[in-house]
Amino acid sequence: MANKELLLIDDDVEFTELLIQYLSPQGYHLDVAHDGESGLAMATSHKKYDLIILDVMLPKLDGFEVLKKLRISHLTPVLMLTAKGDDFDKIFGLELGADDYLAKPFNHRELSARIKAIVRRMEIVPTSSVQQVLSLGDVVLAPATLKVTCQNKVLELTGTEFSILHLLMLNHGNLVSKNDLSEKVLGRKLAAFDRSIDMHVSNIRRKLAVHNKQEKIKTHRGAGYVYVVAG
Amino acid sequence: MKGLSRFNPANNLYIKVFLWFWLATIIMVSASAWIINQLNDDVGYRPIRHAQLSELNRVSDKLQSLIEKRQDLDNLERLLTQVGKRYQLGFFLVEPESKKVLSGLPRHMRLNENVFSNISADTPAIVIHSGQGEFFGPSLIQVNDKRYMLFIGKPTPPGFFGSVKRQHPGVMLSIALTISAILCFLFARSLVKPIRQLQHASQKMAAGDLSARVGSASQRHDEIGHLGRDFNLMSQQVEILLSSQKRLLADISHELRSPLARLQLSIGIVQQQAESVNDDFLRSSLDRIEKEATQIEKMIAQVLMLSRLDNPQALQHKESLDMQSLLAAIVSDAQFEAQEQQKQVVVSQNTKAAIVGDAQMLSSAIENVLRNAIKYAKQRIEVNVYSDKTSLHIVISDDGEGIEQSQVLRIFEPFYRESLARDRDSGGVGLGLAIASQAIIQHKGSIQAKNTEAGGLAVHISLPLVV
Repeated sequence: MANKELLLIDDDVEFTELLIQYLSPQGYHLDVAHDGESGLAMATSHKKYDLIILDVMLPKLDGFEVLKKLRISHLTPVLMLTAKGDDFDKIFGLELGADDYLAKPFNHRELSARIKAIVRRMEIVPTSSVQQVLSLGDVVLAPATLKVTCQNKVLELTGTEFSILHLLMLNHGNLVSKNDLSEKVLGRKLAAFDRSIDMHVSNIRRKLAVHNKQEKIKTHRGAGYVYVVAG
Repeated sequence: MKGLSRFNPANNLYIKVFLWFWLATIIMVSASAWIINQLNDDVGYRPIRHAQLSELNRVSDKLQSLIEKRQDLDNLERLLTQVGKRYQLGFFLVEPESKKVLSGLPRHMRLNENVFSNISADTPAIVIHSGQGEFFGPSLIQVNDKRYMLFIGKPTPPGFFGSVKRQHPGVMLSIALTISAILCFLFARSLVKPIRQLQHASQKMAAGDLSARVGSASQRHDEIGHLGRDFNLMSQQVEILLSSQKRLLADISHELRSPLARLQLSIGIVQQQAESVNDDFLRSSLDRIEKEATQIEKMIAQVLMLSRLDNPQALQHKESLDMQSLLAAIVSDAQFEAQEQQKQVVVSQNTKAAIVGDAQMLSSAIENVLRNAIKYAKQRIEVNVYSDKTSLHIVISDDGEGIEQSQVLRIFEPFYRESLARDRDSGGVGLGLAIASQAIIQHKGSIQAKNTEAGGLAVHISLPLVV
């Protein structure tokens, strides 16, 4: 298996060096940028990254700005490193289309797990049934090409959003609990009052609504979500 | 000028009190003197002046001839009244022996009889002056072979005080009492009102409201004003000092995050290397280091949480909360933890009241209290939820040892520990209850601890219901 390509945007030089040292043995190759501008330039260059690890506090262009500009053209998975003690950061990051977040400082095992969950998401359950193209109403989801269309228009979904929609469509008509979504998509148990899944689902809804206002994902308060097929 | 302004009563309470008392005394003394003078019936005598004497003689002659012309002298008083009106004078006759007075004046203008006790028919004419006016006489008048002493005079009207005194003697006393009462009330209030303000401000401050300041009392120029300003300065200093201390704690925690992040990564790198080496001691040491680093991470998170809760804008994500499901989630986690320690959490909930608040903040508050109860309980932890008209109450009690009465208030202070031995096994850092308390206060609720009769500790949380 080829090394996964990671881009690390963080202004703490020593931290990035340690991170390279830590992640290299796990089969990742890391490029590093120490400010927002050069980080964004690298992220939008020809090189295709499997994951961008993006710190919130950056010189020149902060993490949120980088993410906002990146999402205009790229759907590269992004793991945000937020500042511990700042709840606002993670919500805002997810709203802007980050795939997941981790509050810094963190336990190194936690970081490995998050990266693994995002980068190797597609490799977890590559069975044939999962790889089939799903077509429900006007929404068509193709796992092989990671493409989703609604009324024949392509939706720009991030990896996490794609996986959540995939899981919901596979189980259409049935309730999928938030905890299941979190474990299968983000690779972690849902913590108490973790709003990550809600944020991702609301992003998916927003993107679907651009083409068809009809509500497709219903919320079961406190429990989870159901993908409903218009009858 | 500066030296003189010290004696300005507006700037100096000492002078003010002194002047007030002095002024009051002066007013009282002079008012009494004046009133006594007004009401005085004292009579004085002085020699008659030439013009008065000739007028007396002239009028006396007129009256004598008038009396001689008259036949009906039965009603002398009526005659005197008529004559008095014509001359615009007061006429009265006094019997020289019995001193009986026949007067043409209304009753309240008459002179007392004993005024005439020293005067006999032989006395030369003099002036009698009294509260009722000035009279001169005597001049002898013959009426039916009887001699009378005639006095004429200009009665002065009795005046307000005089007439009041004569008609309602009690009213004068009440007026005097009322005026002095009003003055004393104003003076007392001007002293006590600012002192009350100071008292309120210091009570508020003692209750923990460091933003308490003295209002108008601090704008006075006297000693109380000085005290008020000094109080404001003091509370401002205390507030600054405390907030800078809190900020320092938060800043340190902020700054510790970066080195800690690097430390944790370094631990990860060494642990990766150690996996290939078969050395149990190395591994257990590394696990220990990792555990301590995680402990520091938790502490930092808690300190940052606490400093965030101090911010009035901490309450951002407000929503209507169903307490039942909120509690159910917390209790099921706690139940699991309690069972590991062979303890039991018992919940009795008989309310479906809803409150508005931040779910995460509130549940971490309740969770922290519950964890604390589990830690100190022997076997049983009770969670009792009920509501009244205004509040939702959550009482969490354990069957542990309780705490010393003097420490009951202190357990909500940051880094408070009942026994100063820092037992790390508990995983606590002494911030749990402080965070709980801050979170509850942010929700305008209250949190109190007290020892139960059974000997354990009960923490009572009250949250205002949706209005």
